Amino acid sequence: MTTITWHSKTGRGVLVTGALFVVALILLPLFGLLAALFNPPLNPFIEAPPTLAEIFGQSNVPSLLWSTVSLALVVSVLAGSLGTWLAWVEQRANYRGVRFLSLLCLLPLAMPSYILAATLRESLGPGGSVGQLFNFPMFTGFMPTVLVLTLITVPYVQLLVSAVLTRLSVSEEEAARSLGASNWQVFQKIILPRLRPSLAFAILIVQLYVISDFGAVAVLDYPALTWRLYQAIDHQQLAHATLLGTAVLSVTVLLLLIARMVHGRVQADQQISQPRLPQRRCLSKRMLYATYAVQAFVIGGGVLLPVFTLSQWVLGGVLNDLRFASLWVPLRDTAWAASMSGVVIVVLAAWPAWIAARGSKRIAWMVEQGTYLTSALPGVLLAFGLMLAALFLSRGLGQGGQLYQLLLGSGVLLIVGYTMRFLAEAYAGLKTAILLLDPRLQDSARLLGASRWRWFSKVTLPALAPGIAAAFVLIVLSVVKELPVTLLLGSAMGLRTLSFRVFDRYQEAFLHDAGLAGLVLLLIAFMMVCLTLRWRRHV
Amino acid sequence: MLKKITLFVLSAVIVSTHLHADSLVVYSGRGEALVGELLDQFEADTGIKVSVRYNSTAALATQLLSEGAESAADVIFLQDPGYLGVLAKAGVLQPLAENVLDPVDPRFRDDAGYWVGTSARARVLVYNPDAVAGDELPNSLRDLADPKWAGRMGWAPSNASAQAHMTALRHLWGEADTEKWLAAVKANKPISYQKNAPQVTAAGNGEIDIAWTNHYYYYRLKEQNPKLNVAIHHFPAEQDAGNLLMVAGVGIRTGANNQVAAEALIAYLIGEDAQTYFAQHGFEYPTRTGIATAQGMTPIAELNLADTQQQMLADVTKTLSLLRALGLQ
Repeated sequence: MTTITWHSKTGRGVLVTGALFVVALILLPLFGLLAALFNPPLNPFIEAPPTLAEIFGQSNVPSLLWSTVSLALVVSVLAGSLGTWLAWVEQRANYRGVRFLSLLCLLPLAMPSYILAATLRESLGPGGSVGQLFNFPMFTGFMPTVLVLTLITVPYVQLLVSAVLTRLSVSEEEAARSLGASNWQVFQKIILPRLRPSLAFAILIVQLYVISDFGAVAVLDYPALTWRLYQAIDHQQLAHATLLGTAVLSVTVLLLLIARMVHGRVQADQQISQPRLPQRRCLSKRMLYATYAVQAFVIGGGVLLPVFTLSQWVLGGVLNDLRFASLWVPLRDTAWAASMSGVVIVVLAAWPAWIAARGSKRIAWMVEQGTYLTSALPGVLLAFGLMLAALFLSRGLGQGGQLYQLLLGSGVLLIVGYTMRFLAEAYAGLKTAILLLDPRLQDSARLLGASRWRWFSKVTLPALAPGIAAAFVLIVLSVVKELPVTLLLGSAMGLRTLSFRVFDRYQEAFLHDAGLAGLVLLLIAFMMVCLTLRWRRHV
Repeated sequence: MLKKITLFVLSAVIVSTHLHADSLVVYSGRGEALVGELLDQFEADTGIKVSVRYNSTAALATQLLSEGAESAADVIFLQDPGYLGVLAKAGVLQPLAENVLDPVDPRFRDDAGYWVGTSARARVLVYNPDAVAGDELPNSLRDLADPKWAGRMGWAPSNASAQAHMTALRHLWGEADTEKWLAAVKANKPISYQKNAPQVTAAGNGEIDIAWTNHYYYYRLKEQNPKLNVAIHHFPAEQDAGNLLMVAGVGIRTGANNQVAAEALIAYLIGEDAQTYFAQHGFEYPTRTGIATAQGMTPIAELNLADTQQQMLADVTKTLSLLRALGLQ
């Protein structure tokens, strides 16, 4: 870890305060849940509160834990390896269509898990457009859930790993090649060791995604903790929900501990910020076909089939002369939610990311664990905890319900909810980018007499730009797709986003409306991915 | 740059706060798909700003009780009358005026006048006519426990409508019979669905032969895909417990901030236009007397309804315990 040579005392103070502020935010919903535990909200539908033994006896927590953990492990291994493969070919391989196919492989980023699950369930199930060709069995349970969540998380790995690959020095790779090393040897000996920290982040994010996802497990009726938790909250079985929530938290903390063990040491001074472009290598025939197959799997399953199924739904509406609901409100509300939270989250994540990359180890550790913990909280639990926290705060400050209504109605709680939910995504990307900053540039700037602001704006910011852009895109995409926080906190301010529209209309079997809103949502996300990639190339 | 961002965020927050001040606040346990356009239309017609909070009926009911007098809600629009009954008992709802109660069929409103039904849904069986012969169709809901349905049936035990139906069964049949029936149905290994709509599609695809669901999913999916190979079945047995009608209803919060606007909205929802919308757009049963149902739908009079009170549907907690004990939840 480099020593801090540049920050003044006030600068460091600002950073630490900012990081602590973010940590305080993180504790808010936990506070709400705790307060609710000791001062439980009235539940008119329970005659006598169940005893602990009853709750434990009925909860099947061990089997739910196992089904959740096994799902997270299998998905993260699959998504981690497929995503790294795709990132490597995107940056290093030379074959027909590599750029275009790599771009298409990122498109499942646009896909909310409930849309993918619902459309694949329909198209791959019996009687579906693909399912009836191959006589597939019913599309529910473990394997279909693994399939859906892998398709959705592969692009996250590809994006994060690929961003690191563009920043790695290629001289060692070239040296190894001049000594006759194969693609695989170079990858294994040179690239993989340097990818380890970001790969660990990527895998961690995949596991966090799986543990907190509720769309796919709900549509496919997979017995995951989150799905049962959602049902418990939906039915206001709060004691039961607390138990399940605790189980989710325990899994998360366990994951963080494992991740720490896996986490490799990063040497900030080994990497340079403006590398030469590497020479792209040709693939062997076998590798080429395998790569095409992986890309066909990701693009076909994660993009084409869902789009085809959504289009079928729209076509059903057109052919049968049904009226389509206007998309104006969903578009307006989506734009508001995504842009607001994108800016807020990237700014907020920069603080802990900088601290973690450059600050004291102990604070960095605290901040990092806090960031992951909060983003691992399932959206449902988080939104519910935030509402409770705001209500208790409001009453505690003697404001009655007015402050609570203001926080809820103004969208502050919603943005806080999104922030907590997605902070880790922005954080992981930004931290990696900051770690890759060459500390020598900092020294050169200092030697040349540049002011701190000048150094930051002329050297640091441009070098960080790809990382910031990648983080922003991840956040905006996540918010556009997000469901539980949007449902609980967004609808509390009358917000009706595209994701809300899709979910709501699908639930009520207005498939033509769900299909149209889903297609528009995907189109917006697709354009955003293209824009960023273009922008990234200019840097 | 940081300053600019902070300013932007602050101003956006302030702007959005002002956007939502002084509007009529509706807590809706009904989906936006069912009532969103109506509420937009009400806004356009009257100039009254409406801010709707959509959530599950159970969550909104609990939220209302924990918010107490500090709640922002004016109008409370829920999917199940049982919950409205609980809220009325807790003093959250105020009695409604005669003029909004009178046009509605007395079966579909609260006896004490605390809430009024806006539309209703029927519980039905949807089947694939290629897989189930006409004479094979069950006479009563009880017959679904017959082993001949092993591996052929779909249901949605985690769905609120199904759970409300099971709650009604506990009142109609008693606890022991209901538990026995659920255990027997479970032994038939029905395929569980999270929602009702996929069940109907599944019956059409031949994934299952029969689906235990709400009537309107059949009509909506059939409208979008007339070739979907499904038919609808109401149980022929006299007043069978399978032929259940569930009402969605609306009330006004005690101490509502916008009393006049709230009354106007309720009058609008039971008015002829809104009632026709419920009937034609969502294939629901209108609660106002004299409104036609959508074409091709079984009239209410021919549903051979079970003898239930809407309040029976609220006691869902015991149903959930039962489902968990049976490993169905």
